[in-house]
Amino acid sequence: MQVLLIEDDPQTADAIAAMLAREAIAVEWVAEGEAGVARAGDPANDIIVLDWMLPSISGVEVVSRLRAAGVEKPVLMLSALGRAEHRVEGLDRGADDYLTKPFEPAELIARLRALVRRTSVQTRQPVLIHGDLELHVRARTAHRAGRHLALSPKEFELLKYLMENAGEIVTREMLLQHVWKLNFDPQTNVVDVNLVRLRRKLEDGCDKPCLETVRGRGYRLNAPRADGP
Amino acid sequence: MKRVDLFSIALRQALLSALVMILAMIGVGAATLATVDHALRHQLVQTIDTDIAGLTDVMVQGGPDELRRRIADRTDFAEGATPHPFYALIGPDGTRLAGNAAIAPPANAGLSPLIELPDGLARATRLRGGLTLVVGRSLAPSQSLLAGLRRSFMLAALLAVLASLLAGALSAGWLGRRVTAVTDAFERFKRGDHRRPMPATGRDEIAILAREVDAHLLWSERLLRSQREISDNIAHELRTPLVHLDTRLLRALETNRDENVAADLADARGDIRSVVSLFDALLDIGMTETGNGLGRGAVDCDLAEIAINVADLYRPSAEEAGLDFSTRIAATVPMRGEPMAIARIIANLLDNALKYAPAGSHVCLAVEEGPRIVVEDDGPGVPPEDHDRIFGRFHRAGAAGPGHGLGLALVRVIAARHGLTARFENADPGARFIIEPPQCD
Repeated sequence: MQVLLIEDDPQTADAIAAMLAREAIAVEWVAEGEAGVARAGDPANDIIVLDWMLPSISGVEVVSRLRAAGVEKPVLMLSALGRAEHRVEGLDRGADDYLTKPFEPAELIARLRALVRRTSVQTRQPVLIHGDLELHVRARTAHRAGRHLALSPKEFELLKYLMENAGEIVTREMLLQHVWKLNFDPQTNVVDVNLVRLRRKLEDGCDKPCLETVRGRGYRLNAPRADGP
Repeated sequence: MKRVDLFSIALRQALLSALVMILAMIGVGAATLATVDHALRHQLVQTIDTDIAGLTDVMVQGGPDELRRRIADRTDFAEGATPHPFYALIGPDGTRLAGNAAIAPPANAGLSPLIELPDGLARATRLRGGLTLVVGRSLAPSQSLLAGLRRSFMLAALLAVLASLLAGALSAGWLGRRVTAVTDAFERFKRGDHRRPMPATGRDEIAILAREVDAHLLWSERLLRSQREISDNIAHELRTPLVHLDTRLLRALETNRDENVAADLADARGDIRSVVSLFDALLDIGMTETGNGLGRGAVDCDLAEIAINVADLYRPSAEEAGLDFSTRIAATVPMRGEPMAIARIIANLLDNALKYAPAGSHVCLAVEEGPRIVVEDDGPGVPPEDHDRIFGRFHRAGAAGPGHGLGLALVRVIAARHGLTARFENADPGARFIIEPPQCD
């Protein structure tokens, strides 16, 4: 995976490049919107990370131009503007995701991976299989090792999203955004409690944990193998 | 475009001027008719007096026989004459000796009185030998002249009233359109459609008003935009160093091996996040308070669907906290608004209930037509001294839990943006938060 990073602040750009390098993600950095639009079409770049406030043309303008030019690559907007109004506008203009500064490196990585994965065909399969977990998207049923899991509709959505991103960290914000379609942070740990419940159902009767809490970052669905974790 | 109704200023003005017109026409008509009537009578009386004086002379010079002949001569020609003349020469015994009219002689004929007849005027006079001479003229021509005049006046009055009503209706429409253009500009401004100048040509009062309104809206719009720009700039300038600080802390956290230092560094990063989220919430509140009405994010949505979704998110937490959480949500509650903001209202109210209701309490979320959102618990409630400031900024009851104390302030401003009010009620025991349209009474 290679990221095209359009960011005018060198310090922030360095920090992001370092975060991505640690995950073995290549970065091409441009400091300015026009150059960004020019480089976005290059097939080497899989995904675009774009700052909202750029010196000459704004990030919102860059997305509009890219979409008008037929560039369909996923775009993640970074912004120091965190008001709800900005999130809505960014996504309206054609960005695929929106992240406010400062952010956790893990949050950025997780979102980038999820965006790239979303464009691949794998997520549209009618049956998702991960380890001994099996999820029938259309029938809305889930099984673990052949045992039916009694999930509420939201728990089903939650498991589906985790399975689509199996093996990767998904953050609370990502879960809120994709499962509940909410883009603000609740003041209480409601997402965690939902995950605890889902884990209880997944692991009931099994001694092998599969839903891992990654401290301070989020959650990861690990493949429960026969030989154990 | 609003309908111009019967109570529009211009239409009222038109009706009033039509009424004044009718009264004026009645006054002028009555005066004219009286003057003409008077003049015609005067003329008739003069004609009669000349005629009677002539006949009296005939009587003096030629005697009764000559008088009778002359009267007969005149009555012969009476048919074609206007106004139609009539005569009577009455003997002392009351018999008519000559003339074409059957008139009883008045008792006071010696005083030469004027006699009012239904269709004419006459004068009687006493002659020698007990004879009474009556000479008169028909009033029919003057009466028909007056009737014609009256008809003309009525027609003129009717035309004048119709004309003034038509002019009134036209000017009501015209005035209405111009005033509506001004009120529409305010309406558009409220909806966030800020700049569309009004066609304000001319120098009359409404053109001046329209230009003033235009200038004021332009000014307000500039004010809003510059406030937005300033807060965006502050947000950006404040965040950038915080982002750098956060990056440094993160780097330190990665190289550090000391557990205590690591805990401090993690806390410091948490503090940065609190500052940023507090700042976002404050800006959100500030912008919502100055912004007028719903912005571009408003869509037709179903409040019931939003409420079910948020309730699903909070139910596990409520149950883990030992609360009895129930919902009473109507099948569908269509409304226009920003779904994310509405979800936030419900989420903040539920956050609040989760924070303050102790284990064992009931918490209920109700959503119904209105739109109306009620979150109710039977926990300890809110002390009376806090009722007024519960929706204020940075208000936190007692020992504050997590959060920045802006949750309910956000609820209030988001509700206001949707034209709804947020209020608190004592549930005896417990607290009841109600979001609903303003009560009219």
